[in-house]
Amino acid sequence: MSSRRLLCAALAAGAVTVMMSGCATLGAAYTPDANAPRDKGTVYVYRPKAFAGGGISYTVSANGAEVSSLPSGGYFVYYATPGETEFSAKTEAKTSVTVDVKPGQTYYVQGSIGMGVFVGHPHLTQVTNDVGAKEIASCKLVPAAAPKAVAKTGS
Amino acid sequence: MCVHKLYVYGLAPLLLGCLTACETQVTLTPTVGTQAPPTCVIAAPLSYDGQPAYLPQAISAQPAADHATVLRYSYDAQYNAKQQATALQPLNPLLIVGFPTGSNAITVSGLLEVLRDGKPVRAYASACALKRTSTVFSEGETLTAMRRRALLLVRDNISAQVCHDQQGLRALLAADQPSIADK
Repeated sequence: MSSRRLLCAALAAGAVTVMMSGCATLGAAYTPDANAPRDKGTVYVYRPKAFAGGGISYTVSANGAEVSSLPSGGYFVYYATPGETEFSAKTEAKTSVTVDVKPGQTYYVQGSIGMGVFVGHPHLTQVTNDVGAKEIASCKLVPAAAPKAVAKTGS
Repeated sequence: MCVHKLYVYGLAPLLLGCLTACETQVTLTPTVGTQAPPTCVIAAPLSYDGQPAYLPQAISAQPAADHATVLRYSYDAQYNAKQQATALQPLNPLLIVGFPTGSNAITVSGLLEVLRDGKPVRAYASACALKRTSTVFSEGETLTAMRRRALLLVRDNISAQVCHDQQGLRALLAADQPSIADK
């Protein structure tokens, strides 16, 4: 085998590895969470399935603490302490959105991926409950993301 | 030479346009005479459950006992993010000169109400809209930073409005005193 063929094979294997590493096995289809604590706000963080940037997964943090990865087509539930909660994610660019959480209320944070130079830029934004409830219906639970809550709040 | 000039004169405005598009555009209403820090402090019973940093500095909370007049401050933030179709973007050669790949916008509104026996008798409102575009090279300000900036602008705008109208507001609050004296 010539060195050129070897190089091509290595590059192809590398590309496949990179693409496959972005794939995640997702869990159950979306069901509204019924176990939310009354003194917390329920935040659904989801990312509608999309072909473009679908191989890229990024980690979402709440008030600086890592919560879960967010692959394409996935969602997780986060129980937030009332007050300001900042959701953020980073690849080669940073995104963050602050949700003003009130106890017993439900919020939706939509994730997506945009174009970057070397890797896609993550985007997080809060959407209305109507839009969020509609879009999350086709998403699946990120397995490692059991509902979490932190006591830390503030800007 | 002519072709070279054409490139320069054609690309320069385009680059300028793309670069200026990266800046956050700010719209604040209403326009108040001065945006300087408030020079007045109105002390009154206050109903407010947000962050202390976003409360207009012209307002000072007082114990609510025996007062029929109460100030209530509230704010709201609405996000609006738009991304261009990611699948088509690699086909756009202008991305390399900073052509926008999407935009983020936030609108924050603040409302300070003077409530007498639970009914509003005077109100001061302000709204601030921030918009910025992103490129493949930079996302610019995050929505969190934009929200904070807008809330502070709304706070200062309402403070300025209160200070411009401090005589009227003080008169309203002073009218509350007889009801205390009666008790």
